[in-house]
Amino acid sequence: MSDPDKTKVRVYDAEFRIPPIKPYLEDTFAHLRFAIEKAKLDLVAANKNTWFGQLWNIINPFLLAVLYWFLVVVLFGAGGSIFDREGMRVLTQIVGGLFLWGLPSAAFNLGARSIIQGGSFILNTRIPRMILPISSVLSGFMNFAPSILVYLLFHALARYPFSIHMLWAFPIIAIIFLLSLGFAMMAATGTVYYRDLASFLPFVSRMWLYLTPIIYLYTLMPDSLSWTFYVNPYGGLFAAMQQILFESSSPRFSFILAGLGWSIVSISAGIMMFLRKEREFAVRI
Amino acid sequence: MQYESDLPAVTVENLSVKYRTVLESRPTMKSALMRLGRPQQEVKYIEALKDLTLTVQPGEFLGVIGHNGAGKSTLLRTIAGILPPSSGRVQIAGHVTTLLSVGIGFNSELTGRDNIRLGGLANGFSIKEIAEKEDEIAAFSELGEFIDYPMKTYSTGMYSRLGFSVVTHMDPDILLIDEALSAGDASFRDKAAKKIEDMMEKARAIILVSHGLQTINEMASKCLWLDHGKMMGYGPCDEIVGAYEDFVAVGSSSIISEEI
Repeated sequence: MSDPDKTKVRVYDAEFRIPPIKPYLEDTFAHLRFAIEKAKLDLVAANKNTWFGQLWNIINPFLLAVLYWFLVVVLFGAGGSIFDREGMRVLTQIVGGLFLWGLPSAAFNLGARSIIQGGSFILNTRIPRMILPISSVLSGFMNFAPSILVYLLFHALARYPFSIHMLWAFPIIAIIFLLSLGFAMMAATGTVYYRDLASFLPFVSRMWLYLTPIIYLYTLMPDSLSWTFYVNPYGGLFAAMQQILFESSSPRFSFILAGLGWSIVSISAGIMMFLRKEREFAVRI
Repeated sequence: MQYESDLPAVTVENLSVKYRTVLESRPTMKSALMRLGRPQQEVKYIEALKDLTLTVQPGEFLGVIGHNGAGKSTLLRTIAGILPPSSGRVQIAGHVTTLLSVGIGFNSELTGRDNIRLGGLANGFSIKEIAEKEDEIAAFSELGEFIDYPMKTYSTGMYSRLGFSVVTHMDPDILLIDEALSAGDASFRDKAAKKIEDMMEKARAIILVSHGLQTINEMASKCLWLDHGKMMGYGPCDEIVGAYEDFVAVGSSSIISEEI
């Protein structure tokens, strides 16, 4: 058993200070297994009384993708007719992007509510509260992971090639995970002080989705607006994902670098913001 | 594993805790419009604990008594590191587990067994260690087949039994319990009392908040009486409980004595 409580004398006093980051993060990592198990069981609990159960984690983004496909391909006539290869390719692009958007979406929705809905946890246990937003983003990741297999089926049906460049997906997903985790910590902290944020963030998330190359290809962005791939933290990363999946090429290095830079800023700002306010959570919720 | 140290398990020095709370004033249409629909609010500060000093040694059982709103739960939460002190300090030597009024239920949609697993992981145990303890905890709670039912189907007593079983099997050096036993039935209360005695023999420090004066008198080695956050008495239980009974003029009321 590796609980740091076993070997330490703890002192709680009135002096406000940010907890020492290294021991705090060690304590958080020591409870990572709890975060994983909580994420898993929360997903099970969320779909427990439904007929499709865990299948909803795949059905939800799939239905959303069909909806966007109907709008983009059928109503607006982009990408050829409904059932030809071009139409299938547009559907595959949308499905892939929306499945991956599950991670940022979990950060803005579940992550933002993780502290205010974790009342029993906050008032009954002392373990690092950072575990809660971490668990929310992990839950988004667990939602997303099985959809990779569904995506690969679409990829094959659309006759996109399976190239070695697709392995870039692993570091890109890891960067998107870190980026989302940082945003989840910021959103969770902000929501404790301004509850309205929890209602507002789903709109931010939806707007962010439209500004990111998900339901359209990054190549459709006019050159004069290509800077948005670097200003939008998710922009370059989703564009890079389209390059490796649909162009069978390696991603533009500057896209990856911009995403990595944003993820470092996001996770550092998220941790600092969270730690500065964590002490007050129990009296605020 | 007990924490090896000459230090007291819990040291509380000049502890005060203040809450900031927001009250809604009488709303009017005009003020609502002026404030964009937000209610008019008034900030109040409540002093939940005032200048408390006490120590709990390993193997000691501190009973905390007082009326509702006396600051008993706030004291436990501050000792657990959940609420921050406004002044003074708390020092803890050892592994703390808590069973506060909200219980262990991490998610009431999940089964008792799932919640045991989450409780164990929150206390730093590995999945393997929890698997070894799981059946023992389930058996101690006497929930039978309900252990595999969602916790939302449990009665208050079943909640308490499971909560008590989990925290007492987490190998704590310091156990903080808030009223959690009052909902259990008589036979479980006897079993819980025996478990607490075993823990005291193993030099675990226990702090129990309760209105059950009889149990506090029988089991606790020391008593603390709180009233509006102030320490009214601290010392041998018969003395403190007697003074409290005189204060509230309930004598040995069977209702209060049998609550636990």
